[in-house]
Amino acid sequence: MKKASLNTLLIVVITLLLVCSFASCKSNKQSDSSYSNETRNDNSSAEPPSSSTPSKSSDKGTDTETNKSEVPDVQPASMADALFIGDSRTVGMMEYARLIEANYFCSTGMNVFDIKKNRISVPSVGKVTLEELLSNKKYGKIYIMLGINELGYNFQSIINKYGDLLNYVNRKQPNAAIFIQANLHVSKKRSDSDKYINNKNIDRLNSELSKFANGKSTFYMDANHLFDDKDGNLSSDKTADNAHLYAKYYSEWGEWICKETAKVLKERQS
Amino acid sequence: MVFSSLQFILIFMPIFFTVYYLTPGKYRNAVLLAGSLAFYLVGTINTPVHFFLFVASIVADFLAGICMEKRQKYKKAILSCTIVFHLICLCIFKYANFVLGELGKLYDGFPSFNEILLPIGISFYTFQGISYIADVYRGKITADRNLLNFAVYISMFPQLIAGPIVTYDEISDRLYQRRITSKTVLQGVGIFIFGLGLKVLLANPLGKLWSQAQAIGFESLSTPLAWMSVIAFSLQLYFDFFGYSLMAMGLGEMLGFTLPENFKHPYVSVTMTEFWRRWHITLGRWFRDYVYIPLGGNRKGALRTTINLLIVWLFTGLWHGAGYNYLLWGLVLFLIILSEKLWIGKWLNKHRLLGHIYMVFLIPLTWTVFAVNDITQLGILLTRLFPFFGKGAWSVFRYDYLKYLGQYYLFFIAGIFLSTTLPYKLLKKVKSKVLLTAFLLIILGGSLYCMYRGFDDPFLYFRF
Repeated sequence: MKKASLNTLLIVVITLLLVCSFASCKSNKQSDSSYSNETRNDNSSAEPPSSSTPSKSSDKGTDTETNKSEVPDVQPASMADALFIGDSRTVGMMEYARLIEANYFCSTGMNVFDIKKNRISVPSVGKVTLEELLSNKKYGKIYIMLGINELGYNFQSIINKYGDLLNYVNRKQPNAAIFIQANLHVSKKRSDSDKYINNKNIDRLNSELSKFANGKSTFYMDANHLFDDKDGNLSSDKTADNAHLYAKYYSEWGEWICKETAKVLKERQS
Repeated sequence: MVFSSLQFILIFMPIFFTVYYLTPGKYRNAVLLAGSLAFYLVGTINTPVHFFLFVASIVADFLAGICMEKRQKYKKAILSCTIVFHLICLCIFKYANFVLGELGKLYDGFPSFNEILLPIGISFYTFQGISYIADVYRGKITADRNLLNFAVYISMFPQLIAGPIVTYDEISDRLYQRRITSKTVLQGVGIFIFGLGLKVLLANPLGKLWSQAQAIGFESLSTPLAWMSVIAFSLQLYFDFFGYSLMAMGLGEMLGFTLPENFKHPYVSVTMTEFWRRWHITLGRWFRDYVYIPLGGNRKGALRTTINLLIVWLFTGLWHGAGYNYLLWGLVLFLIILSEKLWIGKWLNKHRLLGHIYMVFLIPLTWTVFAVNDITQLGILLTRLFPFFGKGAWSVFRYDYLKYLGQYYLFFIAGIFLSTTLPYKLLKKVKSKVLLTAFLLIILGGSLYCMYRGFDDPFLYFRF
């Protein structure tokens, strides 16, 4: 092929690439602005409630017939006064659940034994310990999801430490509603092959943790029914690494938390 | 057992090499064979049929070689039967799962089957055996009459499970007589440690970024993170395999063999054609000598050359794995290489800077096709790499790429630097043995620590 033709072709290709990049940037700006409208700043921007009957949250995740959208005929709760404490799943929530008003005290590998020693970078707050975070701001809702990294250690000591943590958080934030989040299941493949991190142990852990709920200041929520298969394992099509959800499912989880929180708080009031 | 494991480095190597060096020269092949078979047995302890298949394969090639020389009239038939035996084994153990799985999807009520496990190293020792019998057939080499020595050629543990694919003539002299000096042993140790470092300290961490991208799900990646992930995969694949090949070469030196080079800085190539002369050199050589040239190569006109190239690249793709994406990958490589042959190759060779830019995009893009088994997922990833239609370049997690860049930037810098020829030129200039020893000890210490902490991942090329 002649040199001139090649040069021309090259110029055309580069021009096309530039045009496409420009078009892509333009569409980004539009999608960014629409994204900020989708965030749940207040109840008025929330989706209209479903008319189906809300179901009782189950601690074994066996309530598989729960309709994901059936939970509320209440407005989803605001997350402006919420704090999420947890491990890698909470990190996923922070990054992908679109609950951007909440604070997050989380890191991969966080556990009940080390939590008070950790200094974590909390977005829009800074690098703080849990003590500092709980001393600086009043929260209305505190969500805790811990336990899975601790499986393999002495079971009773995990429960004791978790109880200590709950007492501590309750002391620091006496007006906050504390929501113990059930640890999510792992897939069957992981469960069948791991001596410690398997669904039998996770269910046992969740069951014990649910006993801390008193219906007044401490509650228990279990989202497993959203993501489990019919056998109570994390659906294999919802995970690549058999332990964590694909990022796209976190927004569904976040929506459910908002609706379930609103339902629980309404029941508490009544 | 993998080279980058504590069992291999701290248990197998000290025991084996102590016995090997203490053994008088004429018994060393027996020790090497015993050690290699033990090495393979450890890996196949739960599937003894794989071990027997391996032994049967060695014996079949050995007998075929002798029979072909003794019965010249039947040598074509013997060659064909032995090759067919190898290919049947390969098809059953490597491709049957995929084929039966696809048939099961197409036909309801298709009988279910137990998954067939892939014998470790089958793709390598099969190709090695075929090269041997083909070379005997052609008269390029004389068949080995000594089963022990022949078995050592096929089974010696440095190249047994992940190459390089060694041809018989490359090491036949050393099979019968080899001189091992402290210089060659130390050189071998040095090469081994360097390869270990590339694998454990560079490939494994970079591989974690690719794993994280998969765990997040491609649809949720921003465009910058998608590109970072595929570049991370490209670097992981290279340093995994290059590191392993260096470890094999180092072990070979320690045994008294000089194994062929398998990588020559492939990422500095300016064309895909050049790339495949620098990447997995012994595989490219095998396909050239035992498929492309017997088919006629480029000696039978343009159309036949094109068909021959297509066959070679489809089989290259298939050799790497049983899946549509491997076939697609082979096809893509064929199209690129054909375009270069007919059109842009000369131009890229002349304008090397543009050639480098061309390859900076093509290398990760072609590896993307290789890496993602599911065609739908591949499509999703490509839309994240080229976000010109649909949801734009950014993710829900707006600055995801900054988070991972912060975690992996050092590995990217090291990976890109070690992909060039510069560090190797610099290393060769270092004359101080003290400095070199210190450098290697640091790499060894760091690697052992990472292995101890469980930061090692299975070598990507082991599923071949």
